[in-house]
Amino acid sequence: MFSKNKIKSLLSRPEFSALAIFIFLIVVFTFVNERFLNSRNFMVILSTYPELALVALGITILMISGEFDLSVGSVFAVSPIVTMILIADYELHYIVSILLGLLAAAFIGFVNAIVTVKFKIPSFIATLGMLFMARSIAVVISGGFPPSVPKDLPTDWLVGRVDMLRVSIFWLIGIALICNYILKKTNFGSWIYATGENKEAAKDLGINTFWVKTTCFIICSVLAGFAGIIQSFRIKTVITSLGQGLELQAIASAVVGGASLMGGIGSAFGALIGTFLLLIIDNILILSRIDGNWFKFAVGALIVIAVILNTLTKNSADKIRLKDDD
Amino acid sequence: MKYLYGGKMKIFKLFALFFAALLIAVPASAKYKFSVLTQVDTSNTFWQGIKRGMDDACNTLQVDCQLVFNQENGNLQMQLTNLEALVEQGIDGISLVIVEDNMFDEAVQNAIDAGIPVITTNVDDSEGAEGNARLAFVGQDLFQAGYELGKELSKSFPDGDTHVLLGLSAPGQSWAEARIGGVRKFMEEYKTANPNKKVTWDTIDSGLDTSVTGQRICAYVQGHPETTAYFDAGFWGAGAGNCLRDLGYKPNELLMGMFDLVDIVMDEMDEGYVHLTIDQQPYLQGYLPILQMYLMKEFGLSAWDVNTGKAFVYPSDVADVRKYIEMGVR
Repeated sequence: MFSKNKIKSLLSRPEFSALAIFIFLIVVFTFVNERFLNSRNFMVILSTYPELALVALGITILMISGEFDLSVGSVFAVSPIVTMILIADYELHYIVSILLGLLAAAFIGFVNAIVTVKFKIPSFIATLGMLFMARSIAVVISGGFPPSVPKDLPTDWLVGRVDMLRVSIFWLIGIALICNYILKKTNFGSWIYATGENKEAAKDLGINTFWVKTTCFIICSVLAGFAGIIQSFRIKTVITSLGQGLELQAIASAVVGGASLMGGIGSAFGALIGTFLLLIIDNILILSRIDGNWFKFAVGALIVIAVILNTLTKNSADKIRLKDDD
Repeated sequence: MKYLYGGKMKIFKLFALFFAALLIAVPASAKYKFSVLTQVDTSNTFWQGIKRGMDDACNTLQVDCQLVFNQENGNLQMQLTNLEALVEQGIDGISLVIVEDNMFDEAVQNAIDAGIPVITTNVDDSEGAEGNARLAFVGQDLFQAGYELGKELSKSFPDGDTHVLLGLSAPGQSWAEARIGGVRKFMEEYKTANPNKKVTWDTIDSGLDTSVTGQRICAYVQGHPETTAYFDAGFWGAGAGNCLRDLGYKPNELLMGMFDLVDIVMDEMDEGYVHLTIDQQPYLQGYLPILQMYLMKEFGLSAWDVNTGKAFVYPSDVADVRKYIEMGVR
């Protein structure tokens, strides 16, 4: 039914193991808990999914370019706070406010890029510093109490309900398709992979790696900021702790989805699958009534298993390829 | 690169300007210097209320105060290091949170021995004065507050069987364990008092983020529709209102009780999805330790315990309470 080449191609895809675990868990839990595979449960999962997946998508693109960003959780708070201050205190139009909120995120991404690339500081350190600075900015500009989301603010175009889904899922699909197109079909996408795989070789090929990385940092921050705005519109509140700890969850989603911490590997689809898998794991543990004290252990263990399987499938794909080469 | 090497003087000037700005920002010397130490970082909304109380007390009494947030949320070693540094500096008074029973014993004793008054605020050693040399506690009796929350909300439990979900926001952290422990104790008593009803409960790690907590509550109740009520160790449970509406839950269909006054809790009370919250009055937790330390230093008076957390807030109170929230004092 499947040719060897097709199997090899499937196995070598970075998101394959996450997809396999995802399908496995869905099948098993459909039998274990009758309320798992029902529309109401997936409606619950899908309500937060676009927000987390957008952050994971940005992190994945950045990781493919060989860097990563620990400040996304703080940017997730800064953008909606800036937006809401502009709407509530300065009475700017909400679209202008959102664009300025995203501009603030882009600026943070730009600073991350400059510190990382120009000053040759590892992105882990540079963005760790920004994690603290951006969170502090969020508290300072709001005085610790960000303004309330106005009741009459039009939010349906971003988070309104369409039957079982929210509009934000369509924004995610659109953005993910654009990212996938950029990564797979454009020169810029090839430059991102080349920069992440071997920066020096990419430079020798004439690729402006500074520009590539800077753009990836900005994309990552803007997506995190946009996700924060979506969440604040959905839950109709902005608090300064929004997105706290999100950076680790986003990196875990990207890695589970097949992105390599070493750069050069990953896909937009993988980020979506990785995020969904982590949400499914969370959901399964809640439905299984796992004791609160064991919850984080179970989440951590399942993430490690997912990454181990990822590595094993990648190794299997490599072996098949080597045999073919012989 | 030119900026890096050729512009060394520029970078030096920038640093010099930065440090000069910091020096200018340091206030002129006051008669007393007090510090408040917390285990949370700056993004904690609740602590901004405590800071407001502290700032007001310090302005009124003309003393120099500093609220020392942690860089990393919940890092107790970092909080302990800050405490030890302040004791070494010979500060005039310290107010701090103790969320771990043994870790701060020695440092607090050292401070007391050095003549520095120490008052716990917000969260105390679970053994109180028996467990730590601190002079007084200004805050909520967390276990009792949990118990009272359970007792008060149980008055609205419908007839028939009762299944309750307990949201332990931060497993292992004493404040969360104490509050949920209090609710659990009440539920045990409620079960004994109602032998004809089936009374059960589950505890989940509900998280410290409104979105995450909301999703977990909704996932649970759609899987266990027999759930009668939800209790949260903090305010994050209010994040469930949104997805409960998505699931078709009508107002008052699932009872929810929690702690603290923040916008989202008030909004969900208006909507009919949160039914009771207990205000522990953070403003007082910031204001009173400063006042007490000032009186001790100035007039040799002694410290006294204050239970700040007895205030039930019902949906009918929201309009009145909102104006105080907007002032940042509740």
